[in-house]
Amino acid sequence: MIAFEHVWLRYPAPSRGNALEDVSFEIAPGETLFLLGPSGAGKTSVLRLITMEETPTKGRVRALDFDSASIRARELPRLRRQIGVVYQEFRLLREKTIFENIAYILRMTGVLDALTLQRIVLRLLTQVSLYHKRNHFPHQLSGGEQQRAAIARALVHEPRILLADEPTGNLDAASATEVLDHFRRVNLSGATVVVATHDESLAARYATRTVTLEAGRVVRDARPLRPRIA
Amino acid sequence: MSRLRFFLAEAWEIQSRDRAGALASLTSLTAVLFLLAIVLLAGHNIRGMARSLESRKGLEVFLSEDVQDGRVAELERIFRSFGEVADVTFRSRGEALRSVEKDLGGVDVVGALGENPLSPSFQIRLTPQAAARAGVLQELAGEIGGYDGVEEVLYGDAWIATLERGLRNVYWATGGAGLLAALAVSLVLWNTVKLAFIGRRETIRILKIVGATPAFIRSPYLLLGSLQSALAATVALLLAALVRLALVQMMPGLSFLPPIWLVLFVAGALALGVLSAVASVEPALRSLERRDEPVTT
Repeated sequence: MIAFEHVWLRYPAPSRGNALEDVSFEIAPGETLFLLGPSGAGKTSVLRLITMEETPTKGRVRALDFDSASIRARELPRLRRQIGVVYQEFRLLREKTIFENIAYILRMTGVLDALTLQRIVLRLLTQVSLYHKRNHFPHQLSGGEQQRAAIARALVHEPRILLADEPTGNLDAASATEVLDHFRRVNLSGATVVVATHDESLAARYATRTVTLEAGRVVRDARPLRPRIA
Repeated sequence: MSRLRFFLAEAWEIQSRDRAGALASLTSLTAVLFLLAIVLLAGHNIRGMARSLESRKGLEVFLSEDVQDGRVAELERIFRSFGEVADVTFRSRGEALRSVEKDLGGVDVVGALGENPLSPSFQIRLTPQAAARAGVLQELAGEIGGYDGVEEVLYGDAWIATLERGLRNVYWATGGAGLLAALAVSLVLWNTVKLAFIGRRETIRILKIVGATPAFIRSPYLLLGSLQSALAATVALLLAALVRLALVQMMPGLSFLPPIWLVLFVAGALALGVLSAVASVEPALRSLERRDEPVTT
């Protein structure tokens, strides 16, 4: 599903060196993988390589049916529509309501029928317990609510891969648990989940596999027998 | 909701986010296009006046004094067969004399000179199509001058040359004004669309990450540019129509632009809007494609 083959990624400024050095690992379909490591270890770079916002300086990345070595610019939207992304800072569209934030993605993929849109979006908002706040703007919601809205947006087109970059970084413990419970449900529905976090306790509770990065290198690739909370 | 309606709603939302900017842009565009409409209106009316002068373009063909009636009839038939000729009128020596005497206030020319000094002649009037063509009188005069029995061909080349030079200047001035207006409109639209794009840079980044195609991102901006320019063109034409209404009391012959010009004016502004928006959005979109410095966590 996802494969990194001897991937190097250099910063544009030569003085900053490499963001990633000789990174190789594979992620199987249906896996929940936690990328661990301190700030600056290269976790976000790994996620950006999967969405192909970045191109490896050396090596190659394969995601779904796409290869970083051969993908064309016009194919990028097709890849990205099979990936859902959740960010620490939520990145919701500020000028749109929560309903519109999610509906926008569907419209982009060609779903323009109002009834179909309503059915899909309202079902998702119910799942993330935001139905009652569907007409609120992002700034009117708490951090946890915004992250749940971002998750709904990431899932609306039923992605095969869900990427999350420090998704609990701005949340309290209760909200963080709620968010990760959502990820578990997404994973159980068949999607591959990759979570980048510096919080090892989260990984211990939810991961079926952890890959630890330090200074751009993979230093550990571990598969706990099972997460403590299933 | 159709895709077009969706993009229209998006364009409206983009514009609504900066109402003052949109109003300023629309006012500038309208002002520039209004000036162009006035130049076109003036050019159109000058052209109309020139056309009416052109319709008086003609030749005066003087024949030999001893030309026979049979030859006169033959020459008339030949001249009438020319495609450029609308009408041929013969004036005999006697008719010419009477006309001159009338112009001179009844002076007895034959009594004074002892003979009729005037030659018989043909007055040749051109078709409107031929009259509008530059150089046609010179060509025709050269050809007619070669026939037997023709002594001299006059066609008032001085005023015709002045008229044609004047018309050329009008065309150049109109073209120059059009070019300047197009440049100004492009610059205003380029800037407006660019500012709108920059204002939504973060949104566009998010759209790209979630899989929006460049066409999807670009479309509302193209609509924004084209609608602004088309709206400004329509308002500019309405204002020009009001100006014409105000002036028509003083200049009864002042006519407004023909419908096809109006359509071309708005369509041209619309096309310019699309092109300016493309020129503005494409580099900005490409700059988003460039690799950003990785943010590592």
